[in-house]
Amino acid sequence: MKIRWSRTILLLTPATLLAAMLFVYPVFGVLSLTVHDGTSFTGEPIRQVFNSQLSIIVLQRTFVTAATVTLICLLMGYPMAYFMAGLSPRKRVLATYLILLPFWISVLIRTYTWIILLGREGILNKALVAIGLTAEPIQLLYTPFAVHIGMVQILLPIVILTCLTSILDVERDLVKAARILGATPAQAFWKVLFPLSVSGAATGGIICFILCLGFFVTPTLLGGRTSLLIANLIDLQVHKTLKWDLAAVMASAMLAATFTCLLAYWMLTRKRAEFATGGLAR
Amino acid sequence: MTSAGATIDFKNVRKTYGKFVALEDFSMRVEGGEFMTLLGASGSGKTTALNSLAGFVDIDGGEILIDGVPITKLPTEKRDIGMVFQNYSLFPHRSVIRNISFPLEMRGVARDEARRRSFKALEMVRLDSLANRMPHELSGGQKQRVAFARAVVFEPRVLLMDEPLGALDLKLRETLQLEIKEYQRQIGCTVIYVTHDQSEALTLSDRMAVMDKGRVLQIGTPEQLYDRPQSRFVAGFVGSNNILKVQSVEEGFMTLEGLGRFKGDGRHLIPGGFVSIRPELITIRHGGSGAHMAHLSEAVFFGNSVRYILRAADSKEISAIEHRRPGQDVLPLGTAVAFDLDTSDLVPLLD
Repeated sequence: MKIRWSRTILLLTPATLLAAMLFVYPVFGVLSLTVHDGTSFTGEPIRQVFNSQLSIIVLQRTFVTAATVTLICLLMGYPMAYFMAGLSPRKRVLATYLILLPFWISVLIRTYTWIILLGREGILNKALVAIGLTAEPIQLLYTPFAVHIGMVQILLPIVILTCLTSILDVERDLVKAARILGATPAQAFWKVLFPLSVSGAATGGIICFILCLGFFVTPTLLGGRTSLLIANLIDLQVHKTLKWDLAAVMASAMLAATFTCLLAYWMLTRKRAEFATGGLAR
Repeated sequence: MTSAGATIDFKNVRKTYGKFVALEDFSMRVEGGEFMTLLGASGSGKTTALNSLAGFVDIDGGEILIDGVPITKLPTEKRDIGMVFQNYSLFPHRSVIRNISFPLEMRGVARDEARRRSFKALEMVRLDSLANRMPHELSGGQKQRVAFARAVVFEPRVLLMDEPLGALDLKLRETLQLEIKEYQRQIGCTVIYVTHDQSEALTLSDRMAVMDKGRVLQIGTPEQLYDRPQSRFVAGFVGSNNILKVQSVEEGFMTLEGLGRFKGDGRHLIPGGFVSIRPELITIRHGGSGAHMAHLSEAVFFGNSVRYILRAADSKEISAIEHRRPGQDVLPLGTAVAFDLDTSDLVPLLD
């Protein structure tokens, strides 16, 4: 098809301008802050961030938390998706609606709910004391546990749905073929369905991981001092200590991490497309 | 790679999906080593019959036996049946050789032994040079050959084929038909083959069953089904055919509705009933005159033959196939020709 340039430019201009103004320009602003102090180039901010124990610990914690939450989401989400894939189409649609239901409630409210559930006087502690498992209420809120559970709750639907798509993408006849050729249901799953859907599940995991890196509300509300994540630290540097250059270095580090993940995502989806189309995508 | 084919018995099998009846009182016996084709349009129940034998669907009534042993309670993987699917269903993440060794792997065959036997199967379909290719690097015909090798590598006594050539073009389909037939003769397993292509069924089968609305309408050798269809459905579905209505039968004469009176014995025919006659049994005399005259309303050139649609005096149409010698021209449309038929060629139809 012949591309009509005048029309293409006309259609793309508003979005491009908006993105340039509100995304590209600020991102370059942030990037330049990391190496330029307004008058001359400097390595000081980068050195400061990577010499500071606090920022190293928080960076590490952010990655570990993101990895843990992603793993929990995958371990819970894939079996759920597998169950949904076995439902009749009508029931599957219903299940999908149920899974998407939490999206109708804001992240803030969903996070506050955990305060009610996990607090000293919360339902969980009252139940634990009532059945005698503990004499005193235990500290659940403002712990890494609370942050993890809050993040999992928010991200799980995304992981379930990407896993579901990847399982449904596997041609149904392949599992049938495995069975008639002698595979038990378990063998058919591990030898055929799982290897063919795992890369799709992994792309879901990557999306989940990227979203985890930027979590702010959940660690702020549910985490204590010891579960601050990088977003909280950036916020602190911007609003409290006013060290924008340090904030910029941290933000850029997260940006680099995200791009690395996106690269992995792109490579995975390309491989999947190759399988799905029999190599036509190459 | 040989196996004595098993006998298969379907006994009064019934399967419904909600209100839709997929199989109704479906009974059929397939002898050991036989090539049986289930022929029918989509929704006729042919695939359901295959799937119930494979164990992919649970039947609602009746029983299926392999060598006299009921199998409906056996899980799919224990039935020891080979199967080739329409869309190949090769495992995309496994190389050709590892696709073929899959059934052996599942049966706990030692790795070296599995590899040796897989290679033998691959040699049979003449693709041993492609052992390490991935499925997406194969052409459609190659995929189907690999799928075939995979389905027979463990020497099953029953092989199911669900429209295995449906996705291929005509030329390749014809080549593969011959190959499939040859491999089956070599191996000796019982084959149940599902297709909606009647010419494929005629080419491949030892016997074939024509199905409609979940029932077997007629079962027999390709010759029997071609020469003696019992119903209008079978007469129309297998090969091309003229279906005519008998108006009256008199001593030494009979009248076909819209075509006129023909000399000949019609004692095997019932007035008001339907009969069929193959187009190649209608004779045409060019330019001549005779008792039965018609105009050519259509001509289709096939190379070795020409198919004419004749329009008789009161606009009833009948098709005739005429063998053609080199240099013989197709008659122009509108030509008046005389035609005739032998009344003993008329096959009475039950409905």
